[in-house]
Amino acid sequence: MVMKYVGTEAEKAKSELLLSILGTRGVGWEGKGFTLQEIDTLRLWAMSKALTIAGGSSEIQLNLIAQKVLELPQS
Amino acid sequence: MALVLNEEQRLLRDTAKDFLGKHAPVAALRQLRDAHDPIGYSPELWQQMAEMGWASIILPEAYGGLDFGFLGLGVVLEECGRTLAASPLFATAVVGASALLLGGNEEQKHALLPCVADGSLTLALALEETHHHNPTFITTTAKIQSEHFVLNGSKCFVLDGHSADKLIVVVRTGGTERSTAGLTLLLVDRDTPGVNCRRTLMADSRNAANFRFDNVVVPAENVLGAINQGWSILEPVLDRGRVAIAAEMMGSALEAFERTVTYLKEREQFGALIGSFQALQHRAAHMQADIELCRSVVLQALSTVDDAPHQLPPLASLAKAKLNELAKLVTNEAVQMHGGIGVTDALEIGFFLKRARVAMQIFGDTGYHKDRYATLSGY
Repeated sequence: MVMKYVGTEAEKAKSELLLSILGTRGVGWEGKGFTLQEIDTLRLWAMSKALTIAGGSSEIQLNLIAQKVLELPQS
Repeated sequence: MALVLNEEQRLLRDTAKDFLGKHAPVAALRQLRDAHDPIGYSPELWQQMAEMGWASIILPEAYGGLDFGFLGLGVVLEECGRTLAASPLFATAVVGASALLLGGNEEQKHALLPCVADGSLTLALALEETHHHNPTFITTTAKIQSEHFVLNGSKCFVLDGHSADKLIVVVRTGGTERSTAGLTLLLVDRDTPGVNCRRTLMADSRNAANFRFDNVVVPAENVLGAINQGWSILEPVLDRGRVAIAAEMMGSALEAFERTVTYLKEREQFGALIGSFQALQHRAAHMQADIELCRSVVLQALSTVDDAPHQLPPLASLAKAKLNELAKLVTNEAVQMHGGIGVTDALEIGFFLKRARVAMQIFGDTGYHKDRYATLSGY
């Protein structure tokens, strides 16, 4: 639960940081004018959005951490 | 300072909403993308926009303009942001027209502005030379040789570059590598020999291009403003552009947010509407608060262009910085709250996400504008 939550959120944050650093070179989708690595960075950024949704979203992980790990009462 | 719209502006908004909903919905951008459209927007659509006066919305009546000011422009841009409408509105009618208006001599204005107004002339500002907005870092040179300039250098991230009829190229004719002194603005026909243009395909499926200039010969009378004094035109042009793109981003953020709130009220999970979960309610409420703040910031910046342009620089940076942050937050939350379908291309939310990341780079990212705001505030 914690691993899934922390790991996927960190991946998403890393991708956003890479885009900020690359500036206009980080928003190339395809074709000439960008390196393969730059295009891959954007594609991985787009994919990173799915990581915190698929296989139990971050919201579900937080529910589980709150209820199973911390044993907080359910509403 | 007007922080609410008047009757005329409300009418303009309703007209724009109706027109764009019919002729330029998000589906139109998808179609342009999927068809690999060589122009990147519909010239027919632009002609219709021009007929409605959108191309001349900020131009004085003397040049065939509608003279509705930036508040009027902002209303239209916000609606364009809602449907992600691809058109030369920003590059030509805001940035290009502002450069001509603020920098052009009477002869240039009378020759070119009516053509902007009727939609027959499109423009693009060729400014950037690095991957982060840096408007004084100009190494493209223009050597003066008797009756003309000879241009050499490269430009990137030129919005509408590959489709515009004329470029406004920022060149260095003096000063040092990063000085504001020594910059000059030149009008260059895109089909001049030695102008090499390469379109770039960006995440937002809108128009941008890279340029290389090899010994491009430009007549001396094509200077906008005075030689070496280009910064005095460029800076206010950029600030107008920043405010305008912030208005467009406001519309996109509102649309993505409203679609998300609608989804929270419809989607059931664990036998309940997901909008009934307090964790999501708080996040939505937080965005609502940010949106109201940003709306005031954008309105204030737009009306400052019309009423007190000398006060514009900090407000333009404030607007762009705030809207960059809002665009990022709202589009990320829109995708996350839509869940699995939010990341698919079938849903339009992804178009808003990708447009936001490109718009965030236009004329300065968040860091650039926070730094500029601090500097202008004396820090």
